[in-house]
Amino acid sequence: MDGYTSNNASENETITLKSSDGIEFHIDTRIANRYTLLNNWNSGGTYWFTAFKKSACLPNVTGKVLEKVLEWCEHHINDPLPNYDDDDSRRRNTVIDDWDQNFLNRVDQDMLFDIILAANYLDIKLLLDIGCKTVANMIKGKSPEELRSSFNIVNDFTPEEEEAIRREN
Amino acid sequence: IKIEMSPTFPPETLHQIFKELSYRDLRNCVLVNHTWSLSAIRLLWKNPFAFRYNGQKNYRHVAGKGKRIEWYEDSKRSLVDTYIWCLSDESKNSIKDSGVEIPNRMTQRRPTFNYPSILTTLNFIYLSDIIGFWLPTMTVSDFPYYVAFRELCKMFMTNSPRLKVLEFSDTKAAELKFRK
Repeated sequence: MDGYTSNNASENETITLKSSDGIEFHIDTRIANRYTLLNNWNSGGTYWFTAFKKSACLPNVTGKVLEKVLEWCEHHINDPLPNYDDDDSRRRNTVIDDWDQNFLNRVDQDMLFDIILAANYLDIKLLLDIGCKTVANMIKGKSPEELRSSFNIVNDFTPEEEEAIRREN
Repeated sequence: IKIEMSPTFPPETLHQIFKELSYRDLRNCVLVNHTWSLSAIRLLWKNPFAFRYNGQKNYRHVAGKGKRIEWYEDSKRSLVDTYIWCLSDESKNSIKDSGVEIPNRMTQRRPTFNYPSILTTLNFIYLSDIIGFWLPTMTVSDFPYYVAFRELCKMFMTNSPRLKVLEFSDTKAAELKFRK
């Protein structure tokens, strides 16, 4: 199944999404369908599904972030649908392509994290995958101290705990 | 001045990020903070033998062959050390009775995490091999070696509810043989 032919009838329809800060976005129904009805909507996607039926308000996503997420969705609207059931094939297929790379490089770190959180919340698996890969690349080769400073993390270990964990691992 | 919250990814997202990382990077994540530590430890201790025996991926991080071997040996030594540390007092006493000293630091305090509880895959060849790093002067046919092996197996049987795979061969060597 190529995923979007079944939605051709609704091609010109739009749906209104409202972000947490009240900004409205008019999006192609095909985007909504791609990430909800067709994509195991009985688990993570349920929220979107029901949201679209009523007023589509997303209390966890700000307008700034939603705009980026939708930009990504619109770019990928005609991609063949991957097999979401097979976790391994999904991982193999997530070589970050040039457009995605460029898309993620253009945003700052806070925005990257917000996009990942939104992708997780909205169950947009491929965007979540490439986001996670990008963060993993940021972690590679860094010392614990460098990781704390680049991710703004406070060290909540006591010196004794830290020493014990270092020793055990 | 920019005041920021540390990124609080849901545990499943942090887990997905960490799955992309090598053993060495995960070991750095363990020391960042409590949240990162938990997530990284879940990956590091699922199949800790694989990282040390099948970890082709890690070779490039270590310069020079001599250094590479040394690094692998250190990581095997620390693995067996931690597992011996996790043993029950009863098991530690059995080992002591066989004539081997257990350092005080391993009897006074419990390890921070219950590492055996995370284990999913156990390879008996590798388990036997790492004991050699803890008892460097002994061989498999020595009694204390047998006792340590037995007590570790006992611990995995009772404390590793997630244990699903038992391996009885050197998987890396076997795989290479069949590839040819």
